Amino acid sequence: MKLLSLNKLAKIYDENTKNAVSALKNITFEVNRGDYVSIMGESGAGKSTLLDIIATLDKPTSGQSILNNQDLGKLSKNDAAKYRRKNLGFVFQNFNLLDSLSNRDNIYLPLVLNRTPVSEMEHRIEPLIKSLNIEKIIDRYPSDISGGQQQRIAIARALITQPDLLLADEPTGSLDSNTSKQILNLFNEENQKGQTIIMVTHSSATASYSKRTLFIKDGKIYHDIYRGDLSLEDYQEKINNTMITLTRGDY
Amino acid sequence: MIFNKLIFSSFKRHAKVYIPYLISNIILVAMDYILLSLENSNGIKNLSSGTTLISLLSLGSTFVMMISFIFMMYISNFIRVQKTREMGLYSMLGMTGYNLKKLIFLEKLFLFIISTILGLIFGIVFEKLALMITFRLINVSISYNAIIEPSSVIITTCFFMVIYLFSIFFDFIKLHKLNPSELWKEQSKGEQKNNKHYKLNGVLGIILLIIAYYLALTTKPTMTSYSRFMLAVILVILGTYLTFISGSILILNILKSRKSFYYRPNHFIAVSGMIQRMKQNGAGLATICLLCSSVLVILFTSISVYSGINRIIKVWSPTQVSVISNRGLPHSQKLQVNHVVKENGAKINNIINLKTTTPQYGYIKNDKYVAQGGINNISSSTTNALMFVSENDYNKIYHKNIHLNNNEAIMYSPSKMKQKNMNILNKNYHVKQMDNFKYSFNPSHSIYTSMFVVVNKLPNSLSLLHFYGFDYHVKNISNSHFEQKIQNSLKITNEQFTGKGILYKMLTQLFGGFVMVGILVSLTLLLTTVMVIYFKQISEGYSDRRRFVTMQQVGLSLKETTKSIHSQVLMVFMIPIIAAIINLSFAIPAIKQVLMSFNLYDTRLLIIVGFSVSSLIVILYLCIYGLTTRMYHHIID
Repeated sequence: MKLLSLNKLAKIYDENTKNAVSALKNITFEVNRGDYVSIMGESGAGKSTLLDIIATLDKPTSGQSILNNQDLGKLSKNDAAKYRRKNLGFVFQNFNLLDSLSNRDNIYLPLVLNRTPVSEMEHRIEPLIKSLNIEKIIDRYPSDISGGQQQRIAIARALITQPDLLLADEPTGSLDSNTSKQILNLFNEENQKGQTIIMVTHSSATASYSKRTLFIKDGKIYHDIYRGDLSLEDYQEKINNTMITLTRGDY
Repeated sequence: MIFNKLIFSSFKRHAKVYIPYLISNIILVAMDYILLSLENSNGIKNLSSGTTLISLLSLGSTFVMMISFIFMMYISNFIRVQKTREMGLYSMLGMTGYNLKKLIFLEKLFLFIISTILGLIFGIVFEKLALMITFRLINVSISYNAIIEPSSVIITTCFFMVIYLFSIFFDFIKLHKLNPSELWKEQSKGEQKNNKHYKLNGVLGIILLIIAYYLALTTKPTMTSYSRFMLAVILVILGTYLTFISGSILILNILKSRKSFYYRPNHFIAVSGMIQRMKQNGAGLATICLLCSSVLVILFTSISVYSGINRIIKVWSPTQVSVISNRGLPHSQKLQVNHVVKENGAKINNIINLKTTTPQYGYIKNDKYVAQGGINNISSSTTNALMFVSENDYNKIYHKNIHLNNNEAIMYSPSKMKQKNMNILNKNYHVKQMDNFKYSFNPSHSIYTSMFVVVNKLPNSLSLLHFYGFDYHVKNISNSHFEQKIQNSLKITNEQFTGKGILYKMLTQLFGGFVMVGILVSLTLLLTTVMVIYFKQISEGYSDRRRFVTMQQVGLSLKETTKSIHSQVLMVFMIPIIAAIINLSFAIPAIKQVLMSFNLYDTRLLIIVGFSVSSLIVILYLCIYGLTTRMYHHIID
C-alpha cells in the first residue's frame, strides 16, 4: 500500500540569484507502508535536502511530496510543525536530546506538545521501555548516559507518537560499530512490527540493514536496488558494487 | 601585525559582547569621573553646607567605584568564558603561552585606552550638566564653569588601570590552569548537577529573609535603628542569593512533580528550562534583584527626603523665626529685633511667647513615660522629648477656659498616641490626646519627637524654657538674609535660633545633594542591571539555541516557539523585579521609621513616591526586557 510518493521533486537554493544551487532534480519514487528504505550518497549529493523535505522542515521548489494523501509542500510552517509531531518520528546523528529534560521527559516531548493526557503518555511508554531495553536509564539525564543509550532514548521519542513514517538521518554516525549494530537491529525489529522507515546514510554497512536502497548523486536518483533474499553481507557487497559504478562515472 | 588582525577579527565576531562591554565601560569611567570631580569642585566646596555635601559625594563615589570594580570583573569573566574556545583553538594551532598572553594583553590595552579616553571625554562633557542639575536641586545660582579636573582624571585612569590589571591577571591564571583540549571543551561543558544542599540552602535563605524582614518591620526610630537596618540589608543580600539559587529550584521541582501541571506544552518547556536556568543563573538573577532593590530603596529614600523638606521645617518651628532661651528674651534684645525689623521694612505678625519645662528625654513603655533627663543623658532607646505646658498658657493660646485637676493632662505628640492613662515622672495622669498643638516645636532640632503635656501647674522640680517666635514679611531682602541679620543682632547660637529661611536653604542644599548622589548612584546601578540582564540574555540565547532547534524538529511550531520564549523569559525576568518590590515594601517601614525620626514622614507622600519610583523602574525594566528578548530571539533564529 502506498504511503509516500515523491513526484518530480526539485529544490533550488538561492533561486534567481547568481549563486543558485540546484540540490535536487526531478526526484520521483514511492514508498509503501512497511518499507525500510535507505538513501545513500556522498556528502553534498542532496540526501539531507531530500530528507528535510520529507520531514516538512523544508519546502520543494517544484514537484510534490505526498504522505498519506497530504501534500506536505502545501502545509504552512505552523501546520507543518503540528503535522510533524503527529505523523513523523525523527532520529538524528547527534541524538538531539534536551539536556534540561530527563530521558523520560525527552521521550514524552512530542506527546506533551500534542497535549496528550498524562495517563495516555504513561500507557504508551511502557512497551517502548521494554523493547528498547531502557528501563535502567529512563529516569536519568541524557548527559549521564552513553551515545548508544542516548540513541535508544531518541528512538523511543520518535516511536512514541506511533508515526506513519520514521525518518533517520545518519542514526549510527556518532556510534561505534558494535553499538551501531544494536541500534540497526532495533530498527529491523520495529520494521518487522510494521514500522515504515526511511534512513539516510553514507555507510554501506548501515544501508545493508534496509530492504531497499536508493542512490543519489548530484540531486538525482541513479539506482534503486532491493535486498530481496540476500544476506546482510551479500547485500552490502551489492551496495558497494553499485557505489563503485556510481563513482566511476566521475572519471 | 597578525596579533592586531586576530584581535580586530575577534572584536568583530563577538560584537554582540564587545559593544555593550565598551559602552558600559565608558559610562562607568564617566560616572566615576563625574562623582570625583564634583567632590573636588570649588563650586560645591564654597557652599555653606559644602562639607556635608562633599562627604556625601565621596560616599557616592566610593560606592560607584566599588560597583565599577565588581561589574568590570563580572563582565570580563563573561568575555573570558565566551572566548575560551577561541583561545583553545589558537593554542591547538601552535600559539605558545607567551603568544596568547601577548594577545590578551594587547586586546585589553586597546579596550582600556579606548574606553578611558572616551569615558573621560563624556565625563567632562556631562560633569557640567551634573553640576547644573545639582545647583538647581540645591537651589543656588552660581555661574560656574566646569573645568577639567586633573586629579580626578588621574584617579579615574589609575583606578581603571588597576581594574584592567586584575582582569589580565585572572585571564593569565585561567590560561595556566587549562590545557588546550580542556580549553576547547570549556564552552560545551553543561551545568554540573550539584544540588545536594539546595533544600537546606533554600530553607536557610527563606529564614534569613524572614529575619531580615522582621528586623525591618520592627525598627524603631532610635539610634540603634541604623545598625539594625544595616544588619537587615546584609541578611537580605545573603537571603536573596540563597533563595534564588536554591529556593527556586525547590519550588520548580515541586512544580515538576505535579504531572498535570508539568506536562503541558508551555509549562513543560518553561519549567525544565527554568530549572536549568536557575542552576546556571540563580546568582545572576539574585544580582539583578538586589541591584533593582538598591535602586528602588536609594531613589525612594532620597526623593522622600527631598520632598519632605517643608514638613521638617514645619515641625521644627511653628513660626518663621523662633528663639529658645532659658530665661526668656530680655527687653534689650527684643528692642534690637525691632530695630532690625524696622531697618529692613519688615512687617511682623503672630508673635508667640510660650513657657515650657526643659525637655525630658526618654521613651514610652506601655503606659509609662521613662524619663532619662536632659539631652546629655540620652541612650539608644531614647525616642521622645517631653515638655510640660501650663494650663494658663494653653488657655491663652486657644482662647479657652479649661481647668484641669491635679491628675489630669492633655497630651500632644506628632506620632499619634492612644494612651488614656499615663505615668509621667512618677505621677499618674488621666490623659486626653490632642490632634494638634499649634505651637509644637523641636527644642534642639534633635531626631527625638516632641511631646507636649498640658497640666494645671508646671512641676517645680524642672527648670523652664522660653519660646519666643514670630512670622514676618520682608520685601527688600531675602528671608534667609533677614533672619541672619536678626540672629547676628541677638548674638545667639544655631541651637537657640531657628529661621525657616535659613533652615530651608541649608536643608535644600543637604538633601538636594543627597538626591543628586542618589540619582548618580542609581544611574550607575541601573546601567549595571541593564548590562547584567543583557549578558544573561545573550549567553542564554546561545545555550538555548540548540534546545529550540531540536524542539522545532520534533514539532514545536514557530508560533509556539515565540510564545514559549516569551513566557519563559518573562517568568524568569519578572521574578527579580517582583522580589525587588517585595524587598522595597519591607524596607519601607524601616525607612519610614528613620524618616519619622527626622520628621520627614508623610504617609501619602511616601505612598506616592514609592509607587512612582516602582512603576518607573518596572517600566524601564520592561523596556530592557523587550529589547533583550528581541536580541535573544535573534540569536535563537
